[in-house]
Amino acid sequence: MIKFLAKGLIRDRSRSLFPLLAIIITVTLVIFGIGFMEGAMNNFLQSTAVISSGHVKVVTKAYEKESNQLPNDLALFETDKIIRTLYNMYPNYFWSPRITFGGLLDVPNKNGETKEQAPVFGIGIDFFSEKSRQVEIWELEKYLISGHLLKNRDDALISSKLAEQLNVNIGSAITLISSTMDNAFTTYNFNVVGIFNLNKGQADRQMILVDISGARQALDMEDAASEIFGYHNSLYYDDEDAVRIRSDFNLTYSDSIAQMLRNEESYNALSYMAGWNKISNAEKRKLPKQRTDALSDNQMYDNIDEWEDLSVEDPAIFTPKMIALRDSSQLASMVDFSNVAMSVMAAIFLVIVMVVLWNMGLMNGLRRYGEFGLRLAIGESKGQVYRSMIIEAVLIGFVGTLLGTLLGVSLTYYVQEFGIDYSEAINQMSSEMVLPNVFYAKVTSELYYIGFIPGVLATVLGTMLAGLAIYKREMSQLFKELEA
Amino acid sequence: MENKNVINIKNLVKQFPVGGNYFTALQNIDLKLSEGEFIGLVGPSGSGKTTLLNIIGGLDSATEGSVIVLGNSMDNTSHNERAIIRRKHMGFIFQSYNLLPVYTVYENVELPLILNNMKSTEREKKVTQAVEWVGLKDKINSKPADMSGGECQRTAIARAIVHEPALLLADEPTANLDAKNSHNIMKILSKLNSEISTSFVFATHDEKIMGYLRRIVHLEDGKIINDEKTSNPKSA
Ligand SMILES: Nc1ncnc2c1ncn2[C@@H]1O[C@H](COP(=O)(O)OP(=O)(O)OP(=O)(O)O)[C@@H](O)[C@H]1O
Ligand SMILES: [Mg+2]
Repeated sequence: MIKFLAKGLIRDRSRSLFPLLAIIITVTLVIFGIGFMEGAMNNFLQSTAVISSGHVKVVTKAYEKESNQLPNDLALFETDKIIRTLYNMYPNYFWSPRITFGGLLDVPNKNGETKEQAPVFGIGIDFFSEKSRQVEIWELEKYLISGHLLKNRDDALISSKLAEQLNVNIGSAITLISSTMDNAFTTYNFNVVGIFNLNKGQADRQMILVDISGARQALDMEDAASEIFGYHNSLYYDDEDAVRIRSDFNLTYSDSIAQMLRNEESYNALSYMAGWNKISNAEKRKLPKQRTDALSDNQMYDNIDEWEDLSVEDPAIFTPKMIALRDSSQLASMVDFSNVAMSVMAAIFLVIVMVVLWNMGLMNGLRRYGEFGLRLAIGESKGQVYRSMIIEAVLIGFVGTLLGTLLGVSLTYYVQEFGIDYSEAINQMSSEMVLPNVFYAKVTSELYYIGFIPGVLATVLGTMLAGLAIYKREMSQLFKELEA
Repeated sequence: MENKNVINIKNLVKQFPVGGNYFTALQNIDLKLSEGEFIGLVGPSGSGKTTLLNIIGGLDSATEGSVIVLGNSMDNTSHNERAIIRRKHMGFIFQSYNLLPVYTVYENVELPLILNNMKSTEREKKVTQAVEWVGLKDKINSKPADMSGGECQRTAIARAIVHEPALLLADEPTANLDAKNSHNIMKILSKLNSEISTSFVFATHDEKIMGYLRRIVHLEDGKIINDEKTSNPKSA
């Protein structure tokens, strides 16, 4: 009988090929649609993450408080050590030191006298180390209008807007006037090697990009950094995970060091930091418990508002603290919005295709009442007919979903890797819009199973509903559908 | 011919719910059928022929009365038991040929045998024989779409008799056929009736069929108004 039914299934295209195609197409659409929305949302967050927040970042507690003033006197020390620790604790992330600085940019004329001057917002990025992946995530090749990427310590890239304002070109020398980490006045010469436009509206109006080695040299910040940015290796901002490691870090690492610094001699704490790498993971797991016990009667650092009372002399204010992308207030609402928007859109999308496939299952069933009536008349039991119908739907649904998932994920993956370039459309819309030019999709784990909801569940439910008529109606009625 | 009862119906009433009311499609039906009979349920449209045929075949159930078919009381059997009775002992022919369009003649005729779990070598023998009976040997691998109405109905006949059922029920088997094909079909069926011990029940208002019938049961408004043996039936 199975062979007999299989023959029918294969020969009757309206039973096999068309539903299969319908399921493949819908499942592909669902997966790509969701993957694309995920990607678009993530892309939106990612550009913020690249420029200003990381997926997470580590700063000193004091720096965080004053961060809008770019207070490099409150910067992190011993960044190499901290970064090593971070890699150890959270190997799913990659870490990169960053120096963000303000100042004046001075363009001298031939005689070395000031020709043009403008406030500048500079970022020293670890471009030269592979592990930092900064060349990759900044995608500067794409945004470079002229010149080339940084090659030497004293090279600088300047935004096209600032270059225009200061009237500088490739090869120009520019002088940064700023203050060092110890609040001393400093000037430093950079060579302009490239001009970029991030296509993010006014975001790069005053921006120069230098290598962190140059920034360290200029600002006298050896082995120091304003911030250490962390990105998930997949470059996908996983909000839950970012919040998890932020809490974990602050509890197990930052707070315990703060407590030590407060209670004991600071070099103990520093050696603790240094020794962190040598401590086994098992021991690390044990530590937080003791530290949290010790902290339980001193909640000072859990509540940021109580910071006001903190004397600047307290060495604990220099302990590193991790901040997740969502911790800055506007970004939190954006992340929440994007999560909710994603779920709502995905749900609407799913409901629509479920209705479509449900209907298809239903119609396919209805269409075959005559056949069912006939088979019942020839002597199949209702159960047999119903079961064969469901098995067929499951089979088609499953194969269709599998193929659709494969197709959908491949398509999503392709767009994840290569993107869809919308730059022309966007340029036509508005040059001022802060929108990425290229939309990327994102293959997330749910894409692998979400297609089964419409593909198998809806199809089978529709078929089951249609099939119920086999039980409900008198068999003689089923014929009428065919006789008519 | 033996006097064994193939069908024994007493006091049958069939009502259909219509709106909040009941429509009585059959009432006070008493009918006996012996083995090997070749009878027609004849009457105007809406007189209850199809309804009675469906009840005999267990596709529909009686509202009142007793219906015993091939020794089984149809109101005391489950759906599954009725399915087994149909599968083993009954054959159906409908007005529209009701072939499964994706299957060949061979496969359509084979289906009842598959349901009866017959081995494939035996199936082949039976199917070939049935297809020969109805004269479709050269069309055995054709699909319904490539055949004429008469050929389709002959295929349906082959399917209905391939498992040599004790009872064959045919609802307006010639209604969609022209005169030539109708006579052809009736000849095949009455020839089969004389060769195998199957009993035949037709529902029809087709005059062309009447001449072949050996007994005619007249229905009107759900009641049997006349039940007579014909004097000189045509045969194959
Ligand atoms: N499921 C049903 N629900 C309600 N009424 C029905 C149903 N089936 C049949 N009837 C009614 O029962 C009566 C008998 O119907 P039936 O189909 O048996 O007639 P028939 O003699 O076969 O007619 P025809 O020659 O047109 O096929 C008709 O009036 C019909 O409308
Ligand atoms: Mg009828």
